[in-house]
Amino acid sequence: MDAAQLLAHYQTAKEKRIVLSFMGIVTQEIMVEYGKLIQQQEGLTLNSRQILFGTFIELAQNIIRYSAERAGPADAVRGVGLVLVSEQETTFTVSAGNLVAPATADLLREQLTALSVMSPEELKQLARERRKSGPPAGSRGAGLGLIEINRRASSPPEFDFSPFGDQLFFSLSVKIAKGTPL
Amino acid sequence: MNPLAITPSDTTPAVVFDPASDTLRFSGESYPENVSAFYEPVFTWVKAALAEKIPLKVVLAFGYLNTSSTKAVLDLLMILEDHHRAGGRVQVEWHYNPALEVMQEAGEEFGEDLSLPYRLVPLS
Repeated sequence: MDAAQLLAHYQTAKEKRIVLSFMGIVTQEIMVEYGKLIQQQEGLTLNSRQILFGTFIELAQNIIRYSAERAGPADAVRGVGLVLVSEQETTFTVSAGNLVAPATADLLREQLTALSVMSPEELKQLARERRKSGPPAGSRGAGLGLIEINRRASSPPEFDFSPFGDQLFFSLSVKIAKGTPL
Repeated sequence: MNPLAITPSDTTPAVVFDPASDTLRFSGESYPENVSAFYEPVFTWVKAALAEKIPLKVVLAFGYLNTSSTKAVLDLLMILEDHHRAGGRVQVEWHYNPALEVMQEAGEEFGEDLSLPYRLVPLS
């Protein structure tokens, strides 16, 4: 990137009030260090900060586990993706983006659409059932991450799938209310 | 009983057994890359302690749990609940920072299906 491109990148980041951003191989170590920065973020209640941190961790672990773009040493292959946190008037937003195969995109779209219309109480009950029954086929976590993200978001998360070669670019943005400081 | 003293890391809690009070205490944050690799040995230890009829007091004092870890905690509670229903002695305390409603709610939800002695303890 030349100086003009770097400046444009910096200006966009300023305008969008980006608190932190990462693009590349998401390792556990990178997730932990970025998480520590989020745990020091000011301008929101302790409870909201915990939700912001938790949302970041779930989205970063989704990239590590499920991104269709893989890289890194053979014994430690990780997912490649984009994760960033930005600030608005009354919310923070955690955004994530990574490549997915078309079949995964169909599954994710179905899940996210179903979750987006559920009430907090319905999401709570679903999380409870899922915790007892164990993960669905194909999940390497507990299958609970997207439920928890929807439950804690201040509005239904926005998601999109855009064609990228023979795969799709999956993006997800989750808003978290700053809360009222005591 | 074998001693148990797991030191915490960035993503895994401290797990320490105090034989003087029969207390098994989890404290710290839990969001490991591989949840079963961390918790399975702990579960094995717990099952052995229950088999030796140690009246365990389990203190869960997590600062943060990712969703995969909540599944592991539920699995632990089910082991303890089965022991209680079979007539064994066991009790659980959920310690939380009252400023963290999410952790209070998590503690309440874990307790909903339990018949064993279970107490929520807000830390001051």
